[in-house]
Amino acid sequence: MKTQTLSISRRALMTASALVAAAAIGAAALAGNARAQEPTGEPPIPGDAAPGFTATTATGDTVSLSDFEGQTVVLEWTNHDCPFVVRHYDSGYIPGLQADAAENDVVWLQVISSIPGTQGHVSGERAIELNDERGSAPAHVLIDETSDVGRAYHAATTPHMYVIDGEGVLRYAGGIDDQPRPREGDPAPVEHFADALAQVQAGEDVSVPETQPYGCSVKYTEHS
Amino acid sequence: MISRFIAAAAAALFLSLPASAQTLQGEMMVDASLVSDRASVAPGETFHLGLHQDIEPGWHTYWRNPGDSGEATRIFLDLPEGWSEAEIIWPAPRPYNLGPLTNYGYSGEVTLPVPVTVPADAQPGTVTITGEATWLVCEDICIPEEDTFEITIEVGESAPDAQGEALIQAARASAPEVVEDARSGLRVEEGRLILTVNGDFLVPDAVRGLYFFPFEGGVLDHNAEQPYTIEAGEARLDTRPGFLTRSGVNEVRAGALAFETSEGGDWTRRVVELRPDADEAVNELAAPAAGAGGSGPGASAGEGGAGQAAGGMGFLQAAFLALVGGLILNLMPCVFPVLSMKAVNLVNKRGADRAHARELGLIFGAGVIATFLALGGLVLVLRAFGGMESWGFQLQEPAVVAGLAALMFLIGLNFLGVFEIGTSLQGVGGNVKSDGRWGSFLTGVLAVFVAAPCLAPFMTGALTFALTQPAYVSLVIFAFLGIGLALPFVLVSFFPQALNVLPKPGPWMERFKQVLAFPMFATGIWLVFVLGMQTGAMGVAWLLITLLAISFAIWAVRIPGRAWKVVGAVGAVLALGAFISTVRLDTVAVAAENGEYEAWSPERVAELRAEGRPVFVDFTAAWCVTCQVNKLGALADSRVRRTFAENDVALLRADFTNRDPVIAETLASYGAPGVPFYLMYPADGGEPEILPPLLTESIMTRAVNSAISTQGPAV
Repeated sequence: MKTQTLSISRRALMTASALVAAAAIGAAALAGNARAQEPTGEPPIPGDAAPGFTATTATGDTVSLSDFEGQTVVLEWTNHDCPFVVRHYDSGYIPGLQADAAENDVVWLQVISSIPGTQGHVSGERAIELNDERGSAPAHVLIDETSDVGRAYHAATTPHMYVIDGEGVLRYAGGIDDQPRPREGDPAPVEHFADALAQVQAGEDVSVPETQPYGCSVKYTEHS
Repeated sequence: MISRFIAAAAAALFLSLPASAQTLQGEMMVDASLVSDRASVAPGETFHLGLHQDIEPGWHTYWRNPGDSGEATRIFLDLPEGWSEAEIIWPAPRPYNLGPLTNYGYSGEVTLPVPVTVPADAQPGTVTITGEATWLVCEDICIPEEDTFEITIEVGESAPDAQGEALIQAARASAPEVVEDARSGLRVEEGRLILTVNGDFLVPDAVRGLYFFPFEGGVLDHNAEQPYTIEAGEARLDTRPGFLTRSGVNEVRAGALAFETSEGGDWTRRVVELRPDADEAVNELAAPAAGAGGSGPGASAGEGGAGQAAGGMGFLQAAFLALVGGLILNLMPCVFPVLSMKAVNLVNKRGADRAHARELGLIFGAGVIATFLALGGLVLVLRAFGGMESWGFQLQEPAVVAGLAALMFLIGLNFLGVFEIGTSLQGVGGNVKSDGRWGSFLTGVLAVFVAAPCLAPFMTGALTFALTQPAYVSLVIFAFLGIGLALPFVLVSFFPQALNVLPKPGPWMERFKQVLAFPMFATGIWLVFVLGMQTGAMGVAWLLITLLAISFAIWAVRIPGRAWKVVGAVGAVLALGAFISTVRLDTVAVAAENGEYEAWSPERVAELRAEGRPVFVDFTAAWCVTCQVNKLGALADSRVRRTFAENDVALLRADFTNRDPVIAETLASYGAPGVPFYLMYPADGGEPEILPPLLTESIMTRAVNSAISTQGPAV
C-alpha cells in the first residue's frame, strides 16, 4: 500500500517535471536566443597583403581598394561623436594630416563602420557636411554600414589607422599616436601613424609597424 | 608634423570637452571620491589612498590594459614634500564582450588603491592632499571624465578610517596575488600563443574557467578564446597572439591569471599574478582540444555579472534544452513501452552476455543519434536548396495554417485515445532481431520513427529553431535530441539496477498522453485565430466544419460494421470538401497591407531620418506567424494607421522571408534572435526604440508619441 502511494507520487512528479521541461523547450525554440559566435578571422598583419574591399562612399559611388593601385592608401576609422576623434579633429591634427596626404598623392579613406542606430552612424550627406564643418578633406568617406570593411581589418577603435602601400601591402596598423589623453607634464606624443606614413612615402621600412590603438570601440553592436 | 605646443593645446581642448551630445550635460556616469584606509598615519608608515568609482549601471571603466578599446584610469596625487607613492594596485578586471571586440574593466563599484609612504621625519599635524583622476567610462558610447579631490589626513598616531579601509582592503584582496610557487612560461608555437603554468593551486577538479589578462595590450588577441587543459599542479592555455608576440615572445609579458576555485562546493574567483618566462614552457601538457574547457571572454564567470555573455552561451543552453527534450521523448507513450520492453530484455542477460548488452546499448544509442543527425542534415540540405524557405513561405498560406490546425486537432484526439495510430510501426520494431548489432542499430533508427507521432510537436520547434541557426548549431541541436532519447536506454544497458528507478509502464502513461492533448488543442486554437486573421470569419467557419467532419469520420470508422465505414468515408469526403473551401478563400487582406510600407534598407532609413521623419521598421517574414498576427492585428488597426499618417511616420518593411545578410546583421546587432522585430526611430535622430515582439494598439500609439516628442524614448 505504502509503496503504491510512493510510486504514484513519483509518477506525478515525473509528469509534472516533464510538462515543465516541455514548456521550457517550446519557449526556448520560440525565443531561439542562441546567437552564432562571430567568426573572427586572423587580423591583417603589416607585411601581408591588405584585405581587399568594395564599399559605398558618402557620394554614393563604389570604391575598391584595387582602384588605388600604385598609390599609398590610408584607412582612418572614425566616429564624429567619439571624444578621441573629436579631440584630433578640433585640434586640426587629423585634417592637417589629410591635407598633407592629398598634396602627396596619398588616398585617405575615412571609414565609418558604426552600424545603423549606433553612435557615429551617419548618412552620406551628413558625413560630407561633418567634414565640411571640421575642415576635413579625405579622398573618400566609406559608409561601411554592414561593418564588413571594419571586420576585415579588425578595426577596434576610433581612431584606428592603417597604411597600405602602392603594391597593396599593409604597412602600418595601430593608433594615431601613443597618448589617449595627454596632460600637462606628459611626454610629447609619439606620432606612430604619421611616422609610418612618412616612411612608406619615403620608400623606407616602417620602424614601428603595429601599435595598440586607443579610443572608442568601433560600434559593431548595439549593446556593449 | 605636430609640435608639442599643439599637443598641449589639444589636451586642454580635450579636457574642456562637454560630455557627448547624447548625454545629459554635466551628469557624470561615475561618482568618484578619494578614500584613505587610515584617518591618521604615523611617520614612516605606508598606507593607501584609493580612487573609489561608483559607476552608473550598464557603464564600465577600464583596467590597466583596457583591451581592444578604451582608456585606463589615471590618478595624479599632489603629495606633500617627502611623501612618495607607488603604482596603482589594480583589482582584477572582468572581460566585456562587444561583438568582435573585448574590453577589460569594471562595472558597479571599484576602488583603485595607491600605496603612499609617509616620510619618517614627517611632523605631526594635519595635511591636505589634493588629487586628480581621469577615466573613460563607456556604455554604447564613451565619455572621458575627470574630477579633482581633496582629503585630509592626520599625521601622528596611526588610526584606521573604517569606511576607506573596507573599500581598500576589498580592492587589494581582489588584486592579483603573488603566489610563491607559481612558475609560468609564454611562447609561440605554430601561430598559437601558449601559456604554461605550474603551481600547487592548480587542482583539476577544484579549478575552472582559467583566463589570462595580460597587463599590456598587444600580448594576445583580447577577443580570442582561451581554451585550457589542467592537471595536478599544471595547466596550459592556448590562445591567439597579439602584435607584440606574433613573431615570438622575447620579453616577460606579465599578467593576471583569473580562475574559479572550489572550496566545499562554493566556487570563488581567484586571481594570480604571472610573470611568465619569455619563450619558455614549464610543462609538457598537450594542447587543449578545440572548444574543450574553453573560456571565451564572456565565459570567465563569477558573481557580479560583469561580462556580457558571449554568443556561445545561448548555444550551450539550446543544446542542453535539446538534451532535456530528448529525455522527455522517452516518456512518450509511443516510445516508452517499446524501449522499456527492450531494456528489460537487455537487463535479463547475465554473465558474458552483460558485456554484449552494453555493446548493444551503445550501438542502439549510435543508431538514434545517427538518425537524428540524418534528419538534421536533411533539414540543412532542404534549407540550402531553398526548399525550406519556400516551405516557410507557405505558412502564410491559409492551406498550411488550416492543415496544421487540423493536424494539431488530430494529434489531440489521438492523445485523448479517440483513435490509435502507429501500432503497426511499433510492430516493425518488434520484428527486428534485437540481439544482433545491426538489429540494435536498426532499433535505434526505428525508435526515432516509431516516436514520430509524439516527436512531431517537439520537432516542429527544433526545426524552426534550426532554420535560423548556422549549420553546425543545427546539427548539434539534433544530435543532442538524439543523445537525450538514447541516454536512458544506454544507461540501463550499463547499470541494470537503474531499471528499478525508472517508472514502470502503466496506466499513468495514458494519463500523461491525455494531458498532452490539451497543448495540442491550444495550438490548434491559435492556428484558427491566425487563419481568422488571414481569411476572416468565413475561413474560421469552414475550418471548424472541417474539424467537425474529421471527428465525425473518425468516430464512424471506429464503429464495427461495413455501413459505418461508408459513413466514415462520407465524413472524410465532407472534411476534405470543407478543407478545400477553407483554403480557397481569398486572402486579399494579407496582400492589401503592404501598400503603405516601403522596402527597408539602411540607406533608406538614413535618408528618411535626415528628413527629420520618425521611422518605423517592421522586420518580418512570411513564415513567422507572430509577424503575421502583428501585421494583421496591431499594425492594421485603424487607430494605429491614423496615428502613423497624422505624424508622418515613415513605414519600412524588411522582409526576412529569404535569407538576407544585411537584415541578419542588423538583427544581430540589436541582439534580436530573429523576427518579429520592430524599431521606432525618433524624429530627432536619437537611438531607436525596440518594440516588443507582440504589438498592441496602445504600444504602437505610445511608441509613435515618444518618437515625435523631442525627448526621444525615455531610455
